[in-house]
Amino acid sequence: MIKKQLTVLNKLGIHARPAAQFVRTASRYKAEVVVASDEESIDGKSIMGLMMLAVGHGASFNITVDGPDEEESMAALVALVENKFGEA
Amino acid sequence: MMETLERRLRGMPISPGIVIATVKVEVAGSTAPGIYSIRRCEKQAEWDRLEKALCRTEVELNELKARVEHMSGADEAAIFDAHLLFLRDRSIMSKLHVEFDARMQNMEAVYYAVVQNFMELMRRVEDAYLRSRVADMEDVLRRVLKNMAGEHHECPSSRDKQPHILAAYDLSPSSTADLNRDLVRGFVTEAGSTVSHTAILARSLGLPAIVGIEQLTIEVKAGQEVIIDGYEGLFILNPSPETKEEYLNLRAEKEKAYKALALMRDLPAETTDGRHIRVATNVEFAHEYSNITASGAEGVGLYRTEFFLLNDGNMPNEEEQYVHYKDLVEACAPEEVIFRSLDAGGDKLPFERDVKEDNPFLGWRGIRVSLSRPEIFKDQLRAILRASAHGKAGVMFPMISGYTEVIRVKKLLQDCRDELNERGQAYDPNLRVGVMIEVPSAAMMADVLAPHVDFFSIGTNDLTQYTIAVDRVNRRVADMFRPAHPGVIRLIDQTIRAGIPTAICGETGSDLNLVPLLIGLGATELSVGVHVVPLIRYAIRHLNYEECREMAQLALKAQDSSAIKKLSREIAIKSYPNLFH
Repeated sequence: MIKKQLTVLNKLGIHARPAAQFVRTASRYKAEVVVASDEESIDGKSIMGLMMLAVGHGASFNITVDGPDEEESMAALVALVENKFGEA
Repeated sequence: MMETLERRLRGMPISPGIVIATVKVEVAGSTAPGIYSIRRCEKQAEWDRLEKALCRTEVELNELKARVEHMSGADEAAIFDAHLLFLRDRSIMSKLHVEFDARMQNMEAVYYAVVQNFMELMRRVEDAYLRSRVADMEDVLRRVLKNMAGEHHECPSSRDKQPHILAAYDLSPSSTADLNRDLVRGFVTEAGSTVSHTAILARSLGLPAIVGIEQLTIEVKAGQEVIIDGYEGLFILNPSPETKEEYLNLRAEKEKAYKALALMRDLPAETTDGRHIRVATNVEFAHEYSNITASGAEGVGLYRTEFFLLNDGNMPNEEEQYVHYKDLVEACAPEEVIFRSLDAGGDKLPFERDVKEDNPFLGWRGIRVSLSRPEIFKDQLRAILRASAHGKAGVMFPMISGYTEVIRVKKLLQDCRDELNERGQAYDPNLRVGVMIEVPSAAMMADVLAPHVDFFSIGTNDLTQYTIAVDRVNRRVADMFRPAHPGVIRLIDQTIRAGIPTAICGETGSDLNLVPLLIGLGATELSVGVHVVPLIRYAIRHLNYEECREMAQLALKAQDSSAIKKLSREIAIKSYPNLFH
């Protein structure tokens, strides 16, 4: 199990489109993904969960990844967030 | 039998055109499915039914996505990515398992309850953008329920074999894309705004449409004859024979003219005695770009940056603006694109929500906002300057009231050029700089402003409103709003006489009756909606400049707007009669 804290860098925060990208990326791997902000934690493979978490620009959140391919899954998710979900 | 009276409802025009047809009314939203208990041995069968419905919905959504991608590009199609993820969302599915086992009811009833529950949670999310995704979920829910009923999903209208107009409380983006284009000739909704995805899709589909019609679903009766005037945002129920004839004529005029005009796209917009008038277009949405060159417009005379800047509640930074502006400049090169700096009331800015004003039209808006927020203003100026390196661009400023503002704006523009020099970033040193003339004081001071700018652009709507002091959306005084009012015409004349190139970018420029007057007053450019460009070019090619000039001199001595309109219209009808019949 690996854990990491990340900050939302793209301007609009995790709205529908980035949430969709996140879920699709997380779902590519076997490892389970949990995203937590403040006291809430949700399934990182659920768009409903992510959107309800409503993480805005500048907010930080924790990702916990657990499973056989956790390293690869974490690397892909970190890259996505750090590249601002491909937004300018 | 009692006569059915004509009724006129107003809304926001989101897609131009005229349609006359009978109306079908689409009942909005998904209706709750019936509930019945199931036995333990039926559980698997229920899950199978759901799985089948989900598969079918997935296929539909993918088809829809491909269709939209083909029509409007990958960006619009990405709307459906979220739909697809909702469909098999793990939070929804695990909740469904729990609820299904607990309730032992038919799957559609449980599914409906669970999704409703999530939609309710979603409605409480603070973020407005996310809240609006509820419509996407509703759309998915409706499709799944339909597919579970075993009935093949049909778009709202494909059952109806007659061409018709669709009226609904609201249409989701996917049902807009779903409309049967052979039968649905236009649509009207009670909800909606001009900036919604639905509006954007309607335009790419080329369907005349109006949204935001109050009381629509109460007033309209299925099977009624109706007219959509997608130019004015007018929805007419039970049109009288006169109204119908008027609109048949109007439509015929537009169609006929279009046909003749498609052939003349490459002919110059020149009067019969050789005066060239630049016919450019007003643009607001990125997806209109593709129509610009097709219309034969000589570039963009007014690019309104508000939609792009304020659309999603977060102002794009310099870099994002640069990329956006550059795309437009490149799409129009070698023709010029004139960017108007942000023209909105202060209350529209995402970070100034609390601005409340008694008289917003006389308040903090347009250049006044930009000048008091110089860092934001300079982001935009630098982005426009940098875009100018990729083709031909100009910039103009709204709500200018006099000399001091012009000098302050030019100083900031120069600062931006210096900063770009320091950064080593390219821009066009010959970028044209202009001001909007829409405040009467600016028109009166035109000779003083002229030496400091390259061009004027007259915004006739605001100039009319400020000159006559009349708010045209106030029903009690709206009929006083007369763009041909002698006071307005004299201000236009005074502006043009300052001797620098002067464009007309308001609605007056696309009024075929008034084109002879504007040409006669000496306007050098008309910037109009992209659909009107071919008409205006045709009109100009049939006008004699000298004749228009003489008429304009008479008009300047006229006593009221109807006398002025009559003078101009006489020449219009004589010169291009087929645009009127």
